[in-house]
Amino acid sequence: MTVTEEEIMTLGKLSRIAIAKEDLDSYTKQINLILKLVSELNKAKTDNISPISHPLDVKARLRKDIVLEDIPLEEKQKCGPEVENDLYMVPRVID
Amino acid sequence: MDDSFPKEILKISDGLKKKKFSSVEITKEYLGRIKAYDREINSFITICEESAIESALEADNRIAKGTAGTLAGIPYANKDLFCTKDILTTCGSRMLSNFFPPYDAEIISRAKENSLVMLGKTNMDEFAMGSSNETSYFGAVKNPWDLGKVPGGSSGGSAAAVVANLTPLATGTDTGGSIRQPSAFCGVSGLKPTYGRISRYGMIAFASSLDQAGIIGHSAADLAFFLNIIAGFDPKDSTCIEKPTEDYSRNLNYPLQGIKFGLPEEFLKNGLNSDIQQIFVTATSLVEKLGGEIVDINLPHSSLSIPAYYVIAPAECSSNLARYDGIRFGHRAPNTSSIEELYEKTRSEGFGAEVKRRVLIGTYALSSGYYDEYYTKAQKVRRLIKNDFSEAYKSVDFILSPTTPTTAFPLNEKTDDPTLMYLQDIFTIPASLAGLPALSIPAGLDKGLPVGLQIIGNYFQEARMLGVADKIQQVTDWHKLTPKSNLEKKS
Repeated sequence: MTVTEEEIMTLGKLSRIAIAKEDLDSYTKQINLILKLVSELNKAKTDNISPISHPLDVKARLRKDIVLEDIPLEEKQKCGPEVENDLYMVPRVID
Repeated sequence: MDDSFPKEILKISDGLKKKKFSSVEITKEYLGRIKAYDREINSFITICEESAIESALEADNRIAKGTAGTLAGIPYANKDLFCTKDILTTCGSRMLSNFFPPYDAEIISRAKENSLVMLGKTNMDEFAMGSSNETSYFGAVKNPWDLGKVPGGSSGGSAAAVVANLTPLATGTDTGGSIRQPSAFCGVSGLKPTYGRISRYGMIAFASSLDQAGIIGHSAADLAFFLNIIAGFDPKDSTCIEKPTEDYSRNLNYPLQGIKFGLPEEFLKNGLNSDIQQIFVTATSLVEKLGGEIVDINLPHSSLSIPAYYVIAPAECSSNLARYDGIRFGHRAPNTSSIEELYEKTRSEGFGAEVKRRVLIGTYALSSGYYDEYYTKAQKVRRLIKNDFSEAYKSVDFILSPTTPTTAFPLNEKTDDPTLMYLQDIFTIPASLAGLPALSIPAGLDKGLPVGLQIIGNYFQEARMLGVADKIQQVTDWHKLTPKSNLEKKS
C-alpha cells in the first residue's frame, strides 16, 4: 500500500495540519517508507487471535458519575491563549 | 564534583542524616555543575534554581526534625513531559513552549511529599517521539561521552544529565524504549516498570497503551529506592494497576544460583554489531559465573514488533495530540480568520516534522477502510508477541539481550529516512508491546562508548529484576565508568 501526494494533503486536512507544498514530496516519500515497514504485518497469521487494548488485559475502571474536586476554572484559564469573561475566545464561527 | 559529595542515593541520604552536608549544599553543588557543563550538553530545558533551594531548605528542616523519609533532600530532575505546577512543561515542543500546568503529575506529588529536590526539567524528543533527542524544539542533547554523538531518546536529557553527574537521579518515560535506549547510549541504569505500575496522571500522553513512567540513575539500587516512592495505584489513572507495591530494595544483591536467563535467538542472529555481540557474551558469561543458568529461547514474532509499534503508537498519538488546538492552552497561531485556519496553522507551527509524520500515519491507520487492516491487525500481532513472552517465561525467569543494536551514533546521521531511526528500538519494543518490566544497565564500553545490557522480567517482577541487576553491579564497575575526562576537556 502506498499513498499519493493528494492523499497526504487529505490526511493533513483530516488531522488539521497544514502541509506546505515544499514539504509534500518529503512527507509522501517518508510516509511510504513507513507504510512499507508496516506492511510486514501481513506476514503474521492472526486468524482467531483477539486484539489487545491493555497489555495486561485489564478492563478500564469506571467510577461513579459524580463531580469531584477539580482545578479552579481561573487556574485552568491562565493557560489559555485568549480568555475573556471566563470564555475561551476563537475566531468567528457563525456569520 | 567535590569528592565530599557522594553520587549514590543511599550515601547522599546517609551524609544528609549525619549532617556531613546539607541538602542546600548538595543542591547548590549540582546547580553549579549544571551551569558549568550543560551549555555544551543541553540536557536541561528549565533549571529551577530558586524553587530547588527552597525545597532543599524545607528538606533540611524535616531532616533536622527527624520527620524526613529516606530520600528527603536528594536532588533529582524530571523529564519535561511531567506536568509541574506553575513550572514550564514543554514536552520538547513549540506547541507547549508557553505551558505552565495548573497541577502536578502524580509522581511529582509523591516526590514532593518525600521532600526530594527538583533541580529542573530535562530535554527530550518532541512529545517523546524519537530515539536521538534530535526532534526537540529546544535543540539536540549531546552525548557526554562524545559530544558529536546522540544521547539516545526520547529521555536523552535525563540519561545525559545523570551520566554527566548533573543530577543523581532523573525521571523518564518509555513508550518503545525511551528510557532503556538512552540509558544504554549514556552508560547509566534505566528502568521501565510493568505497564500500569506507576501512575500516568499528569504525564503528557503520546501512546496511552504503551506509555510508562520510569527512572534513570547511576545504579539498580538507586532505581529501587526511588521506585519505592513513585510506584503504586492511583485512582486518577484508569489504566493504573490496583495491586499492592512492595519494597523494591528488598532483593538487592540477589543470588543468581538457579535463576534461568533466556537468550532470544531472534535478537542475536541478525544485524547486531559484532563488538556489541562480544560485550553481550562477556556479560552473559558473568551471569553464568555468578550461578545463573543460560537457556536459549525463541520469541518468534519479535521481528514484527517494529511494524506493530509503528501502527499502534502513531494511531494513539494522532488521537492524543488532537487536544492541541490552540484554544485552551499551548501555542496559538496569530492572525487567523476562521476556526479551521486557527487549528491548521496552530498545529502546523506548533508540531515538528516527526510529530506531524506520526499524526499523519496514525490518521491514515485509523481512517475508515484501513482500521482493521492496520490497527486491529497490529493489536492482534501485539497479542502474538505477548503470547511469545508468556511461553518463554514458562521455562526462564528473566530474558537477557543487548539494549540496542549499536552504540550511540553521530548527530544528524539518521534524519532522512525515519525507518532507520525506528530500528534503534528493535530490542526494546517487544517488552513495551507486552507491557513487561525491563531495564538497561551498563555492560562496558565499545570504542569508548557505552553498551547496555537489557534485562526483561515477567509482570511485576521489578524487585527481583533490580536484585539481579544489583548483583551484577556488585561484582563489576561498568556502571561506575564516567565520561569525566571528556567533560573537563570541554569546560
